Amino acid sequence: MTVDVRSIHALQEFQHRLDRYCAMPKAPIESIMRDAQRTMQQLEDRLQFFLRERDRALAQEEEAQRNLERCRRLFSSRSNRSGDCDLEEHLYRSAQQHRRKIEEYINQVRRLIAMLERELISARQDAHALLSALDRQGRSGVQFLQSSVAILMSYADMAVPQSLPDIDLGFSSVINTVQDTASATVSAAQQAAENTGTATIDAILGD
Amino acid sequence: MTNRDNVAELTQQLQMLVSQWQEVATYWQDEKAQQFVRDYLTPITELHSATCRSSTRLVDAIDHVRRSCP
Repeated sequence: MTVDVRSIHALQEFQHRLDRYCAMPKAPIESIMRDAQRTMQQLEDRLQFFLRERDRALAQEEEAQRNLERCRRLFSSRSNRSGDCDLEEHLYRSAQQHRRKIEEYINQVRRLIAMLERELISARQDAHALLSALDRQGRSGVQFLQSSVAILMSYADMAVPQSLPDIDLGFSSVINTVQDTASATVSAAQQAAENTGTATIDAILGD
Repeated sequence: MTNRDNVAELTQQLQMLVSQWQEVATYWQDEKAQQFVRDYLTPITELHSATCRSSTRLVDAIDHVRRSCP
């Protein structure tokens, strides 16, 4: 394996950015979830309201129906003038319409609850997976970068003696740290590798 | 912050991470870099992307509820 890191500083900077990034998604996700839960609660409250309204409307409808039947019985015993129950008929039809309208609202709210619940479950699963991954893989990724940076920095530090001649070890490692504007050149990395007695960087960087 | 702002922030976080990585990737191109992408960066960005999509759908659903709840 060869190492081609031309900027340890850039890698180190990314390590810090990744570390900060891992904590970032939690706040907006929690905010969205809170609002979704609030909205769901409002829908549940609305459903309960309409269910109570339907019970009331049903009672009114039944009463209107009883009134109409009473009226019809009354007039049928006296005459066949059905027109005399027009008011009761109208009240009964209105009560029916009111009850049906409320049932439509109930169905509409139930559909909205089902739709919101579906999206909430999906978003919650994804958010949970992301936050768990950030906690686990994100932190491991930061550690991975941290150890890589530390090792490469140690190479750069060991490469300080300027008078050492360039030695070609025959691998294409390129370490060029821009930290402190100092460059650790190919020869420095090779010299460092030789100094530590390990011929290859991957032996150190390896898992 | 509105829900739309929160989704925008989530999306921006992902875009920033990807763009910062692209910058680093011009310097770091060895096998360790590939391992980092495979084991850490790709899983995280895929999950983040999925979260952006499902959060957008959830926010759309919330807006729809507010518009159409009787």
